[in-house]
Amino acid sequence: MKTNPQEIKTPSKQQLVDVTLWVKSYTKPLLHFAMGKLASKETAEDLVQATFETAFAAYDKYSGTGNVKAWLFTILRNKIADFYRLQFRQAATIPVSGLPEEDYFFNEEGHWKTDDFHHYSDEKHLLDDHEFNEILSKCIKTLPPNLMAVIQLKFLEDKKSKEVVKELGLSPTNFWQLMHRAKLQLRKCLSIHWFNESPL
Amino acid sequence: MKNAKKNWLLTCDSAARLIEKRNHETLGYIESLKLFWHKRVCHLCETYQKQSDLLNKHLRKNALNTTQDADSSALEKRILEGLEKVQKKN
Repeated sequence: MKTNPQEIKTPSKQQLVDVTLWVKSYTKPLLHFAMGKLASKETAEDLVQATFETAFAAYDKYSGTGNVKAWLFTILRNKIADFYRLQFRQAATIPVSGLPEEDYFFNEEGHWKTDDFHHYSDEKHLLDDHEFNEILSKCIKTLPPNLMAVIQLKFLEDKKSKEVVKELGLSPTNFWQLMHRAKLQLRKCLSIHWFNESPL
Repeated sequence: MKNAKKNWLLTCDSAARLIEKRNHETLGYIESLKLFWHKRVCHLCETYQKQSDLLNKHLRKNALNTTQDADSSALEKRILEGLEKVQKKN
């Protein structure tokens, strides 16, 4: 967002007092949310800081009638989305066909390798299993940057795939193939570290 | 494998692709029919679809870091110092 320097109004004392109050009240929940969405704590902190800087600069535009917390979370979510869009663009493009992950799960005839096919029993239980969630989080962090970005953008606000496709400038087919790739890789990671219990 | 496709039979790797594709766009008539019949005879792909749905649910709510009480006081201080600098500049 470009702002004409002449348009920036001198922040009033009151403005700093208000924003200081916001920082004291909302840094913790914002940081907690950011850390859930970002692999590194440093990035999470930087984006929370950037959120308050944006809020401070846009203080005049914010009428003060709405919900400050919700407004701050909207700014933060946009910052996280920007971060992953950049990460996606910067990641080297990896060809979508001939994935090594597929060799791991499928034999030459395109059938599942059954010895590695784990049945997830008791799904409801798994959804609440703290240890499973921990391992899944670690598995997500091991994804290559472009797959991580795709997954996080899709599920950050549970966006429609069409929107994510548009944002990333991908073809719809490329998009779901990347999702497919990410899922196979997550399954592989889960099968090694959850079902075979080898430490991550 | 090409013959297999012509004969209306999906391989499991193609079926798995369709299972993902189905999350993002509507499958064509032929595609959904092929997938339907494949799942009728292949319990592994039937199971894979359930796993894929389960992963979706998890990813939707998954938090990458689950530290409940992250210490935010240092960050608060840093942010306030930064904002004061902006204030002084103006």
